[in-house]
Formats: sequence, structure tokens, C-alpha cells
Amino acid sequence: MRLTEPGFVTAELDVGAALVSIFCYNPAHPFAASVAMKRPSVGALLFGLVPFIAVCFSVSLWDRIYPIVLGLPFNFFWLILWILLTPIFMWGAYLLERPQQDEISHKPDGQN
Amino acid sequence: MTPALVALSVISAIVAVGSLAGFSARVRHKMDLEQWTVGGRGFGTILVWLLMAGEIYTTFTFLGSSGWAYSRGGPVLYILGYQPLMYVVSFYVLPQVWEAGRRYNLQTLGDFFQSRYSRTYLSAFVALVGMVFLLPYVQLQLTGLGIIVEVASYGSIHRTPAILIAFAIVAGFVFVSGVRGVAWASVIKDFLLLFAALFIGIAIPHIYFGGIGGMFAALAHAKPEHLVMPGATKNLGHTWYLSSVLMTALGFFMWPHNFAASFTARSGKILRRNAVFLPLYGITMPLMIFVGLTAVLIVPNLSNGDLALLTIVRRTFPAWFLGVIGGAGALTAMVPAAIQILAAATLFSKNICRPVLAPRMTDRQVAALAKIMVLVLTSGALYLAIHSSVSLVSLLLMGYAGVAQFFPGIVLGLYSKKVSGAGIFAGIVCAVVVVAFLILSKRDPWMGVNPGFVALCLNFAVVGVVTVARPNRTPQDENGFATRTSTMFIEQRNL
Repeated sequence: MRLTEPGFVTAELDVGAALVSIFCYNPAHPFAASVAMKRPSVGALLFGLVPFIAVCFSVSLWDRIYPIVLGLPFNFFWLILWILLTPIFMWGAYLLERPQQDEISHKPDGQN
Repeated sequence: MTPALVALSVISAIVAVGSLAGFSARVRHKMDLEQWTVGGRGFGTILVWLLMAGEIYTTFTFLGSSGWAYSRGGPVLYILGYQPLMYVVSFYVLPQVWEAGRRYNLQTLGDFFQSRYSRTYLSAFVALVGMVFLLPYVQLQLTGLGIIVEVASYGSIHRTPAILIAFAIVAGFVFVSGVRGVAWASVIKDFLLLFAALFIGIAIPHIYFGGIGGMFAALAHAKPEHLVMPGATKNLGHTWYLSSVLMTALGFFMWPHNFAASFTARSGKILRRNAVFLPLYGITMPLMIFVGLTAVLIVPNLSNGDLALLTIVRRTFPAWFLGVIGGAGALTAMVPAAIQILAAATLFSKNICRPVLAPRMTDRQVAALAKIMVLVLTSGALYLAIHSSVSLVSLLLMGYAGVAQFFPGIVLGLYSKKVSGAGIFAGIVCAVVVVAFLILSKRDPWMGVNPGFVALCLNFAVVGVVTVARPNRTPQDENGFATRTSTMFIEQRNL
């Protein structure tokens, strides 16, 4: 997809654009968020939010030794579990983003 | 043969193989500035993976995380916390950065600011701040290298000559082969580090306590307070954890060398794919931490926590194995140091020297100057490492907090057309001053919060206020990038 592809940037469910438009709302151009660079979709952002909640914001809930799981104190178990689970969530985000991804290659395949 | 000789020979052999892999990478490629700094923007998934894993997992991973587990206990969890999250952040930022890099022909962090905001003072300032904070990072790698040689030689070689030898190799290696050589040397480094972490992370707790579970049971019995925050510290509690994890995860790819690595990719898709799979490499971190925690019970009362991992390896295994671990550690210091020097040298010559001092320089002259800067900066870091002061770690923490302040400039720059160069400049200046003041006056953490996080909040506020007060008037293209580009970009097109 070309960078300047019209259309998807003005999708209503674009959280990135929403956050930006709070910061830079322009009444003359309500859809002034038409920055041509692609933005992550709301679904992809939600996938990314899950590890943040699990690993960061909920710290006081899991920072404890007991119960010991698989021989690990609970806090260590929890964080190691999320090292393994984060790729699964990001894979979800990747699949959501895939239709929007540019397939422009700077160089032909086959070179490293 | 003495154990010291055995260990040192194994380390030298590993370092030699790693360097050869780097040197041989240049053979097929003509080395212009583009090839030297961003590998011709042609790296596929695997090379980008190797380059990123190569620069992210540094001697801080190797000696630092086990050292923190040893000396601080619970707060080491923050390393496990920010690891997966920084890749989550990179998923939403780096592909866009790559896209901008391709469109506007960017090679460095400073180029991004120059081309987005068209303010030479802003990009030169960003480059200067990035370069200054990179130096203690390089110095940390050198000190780590020194520790490795010192322990592996059983104290018979002092740090200074060891650092000198190893760094001559690193400087030569960056000088000749550029970023592509570093990525290939990283192949050997990554395999060794992965092997070393898996092996010692499992074997050491097993030998002393019959397994990781046994080690934790013993520690939970003997020192339960060591396993939760704030551990052995007084003030690194949950607020500190939260603010540090957020600040580090947002700021990690703002390190100039991590940022520039995204330009080496062949497409944005490769960076997304990497963001999905790189967290898995982070599984080495808990293993290093397990070794550090075992050391708490087995070799207590070490003067320096950074010695914990190597001391317990030396106590447990034969000399040749200490050599293997030491060699992995040495490459883990050299590869990131090489990338960091490369980034700092390019920042200086491309974003400070040419635009500010000598606008008529051609790309070839910039490349030549960057190579000279490799030697200058390496010598600078060497000087710092040899005359090492206690403030090393606080300088690095200041670096992490400092580079995180580029986050608003990058992300708002990508996603907002309204944000102005003046606002971004004011935000970074205020935030860097606050970071330096809080950390140098020993107010870390400040009221239980990471100073870098405090500064980042202030940064966003200042950017908002100044942007409203002095709106952006620079002519912009459809991506918000300045259309009136400076001489450096015009020159580049003419070449």
C-alpha cells in the first residue's frame, strides 16, 4: 500500500489519530489527522495494551512470593509467563495490521 | 597450563572468531556512508533480528542483571518487566520510523529531527545529548570487558591492559566493516550468549540446590524479603517499578543506536515481525537473574554485585568453561560497544559537525570524519573506563532517563502535524535539565518515582504549552515533515 493511500487514515476507530487530535484539533479540518503515514489500528493497540496491564500497571497484585508456581515465586513466575505470552498478543496485533502493511521493498528479495 | 592461561586462551579464540565474522562481512559490499551506517537499508528479518538482539543484550544483560539480582533482589524484576514492553512499543513506532527513513533518506536520530522539524539547532542538540549519553554506555561495556578479563585471569591481568587490547579490536572492527560487520559478529555472540545463559542458568541452581525450585525455596526460607520489592533497597518499591518500566519501555528505542537500527531493515513489515519475536530472546534474562540469586546464598558479601555471575561460574566449573562464558561475555560487551560508537560517530559528523560547522562537506567527507570520530570516541570512552568513577551506573541511568526525552519528539512528530520544533526543543531542554539535576543531586528515586518518568511528564506538558504559544509555521508535506529542508538534504540529493 502506498503511503499516500487515501481512505483508511480517516477511519473513525483510529485511537492514534484520536489521541493526536486531542493534542492538535483543527476545527477548519476536522479530519486534519490525515497524516499520510500509517497508524496502528485500535485493535492492534488494544492487543499491545494487554501486556502493559499485566506486567506494569498491576504490579501490586502480583508482587508476592506465594503461591509458588513451578518452583518459582509468584512474581517471577508471572513476569516470565508474560515474556512468553507477549509474542502471542503481538502476533495478534501483527495479523490485524497485515492488511495495511506496505509491501514495498527497498531492494528485491534475495539480498540480505 | 595454569587455569588463567586456559581461560584466557579460550576467550581470545572466541573474540578472534567473532571479529573475523565481522571483518569478512565487508568483502562483498562497497563501503559508502549509507552502507556503513544503515547497511544499505537491505537487511532481512534475520539480520535485523541479529543486529537488534546484538545491541539490546549488552554486558548489562550479562553482568548487570545478575548483579542487580545479587545486590538489590526484588527490584531486578523491573528488567523482566520492561523487556517485553519495549518491543510492544517498538511495534507501533519503528515501522513508521522506517517509513520516514526511506522517504526522507534518514540515517540517524538527528536526521529525523532535522527532516521533521527543519530546525538545525534542535537536531544538533538532540545529536549532542544522544552522543553524550552514549559515552557512559560504551564505558560500561568496557568496564564489563575489564571485569571479565580480570576474573578469568584469576587476577593476574589488570583491567587497564585488558580493556586496551579488546578495544583496539572493537575500534578496528567498526572502522573497517560498519554496521554489517557488527550484525555478523552478533551471530556468534547471540548463539554463545543463549547457550551460556541456558546452561549456567539451569546448571548452577541445580548443582547447589538441586534445581531452580530448590534455590527459590532456600532463598524464600533464608531471605524472603530479597524476593519482593523493595528487596535489599529502601526506596525501590512499586511506584518506582511502575514509573521505571514505563519510562524504559517508551524510551528504549530512543537510544540513537537502537533507533538507527530500524533504518537497516528492508521493509517496515520486518520490524513488526521482529517486535513479535524478539521478546522470546528475553528468556535469557531470568536465567541470568537465577544465577545472581544463587550467588546470594553461595558467595555472599562480594564487594561488587557485578562480580557475582563470574565468581560463581569460576567457583563451579573448570577453567576452560570459565573461558567460554568469559568469551560470550566479551563479545556481549564488544558488539554493542561497536554499534554505540558507530551511532555516536555518525551523529557527530552528520548532525553536529556538517550542519553547524561545515555545511559544504560532502557525504564522503562526512563518512571520513565519522571514521576519525570512531577513534576519538573510543579513546574518550577508554579514558573514562580507565579512570572509572563510582558514578558510572548513575551516568548510565541518567542516559536511559535522558534518551527517553526524545520520545515526544519522535512519536508526536510522526503522528501530529501541529507539534512545533520550538515546543519539542523546549520540552527536551527542560526534561534533560530535570533529569540531570535529580540524578546528580542523588534524588533517584524522587519521592519514589523514577526521575526520567517525572521529566517525561514535564516534557509532554512543555511541548503542549509551547506548541500552543508558538504554533508551527514550517511548511509541511502530507506527513508533517518540513518541505523546506536544510542544505544537508539538498546536497544529498545532488550527489
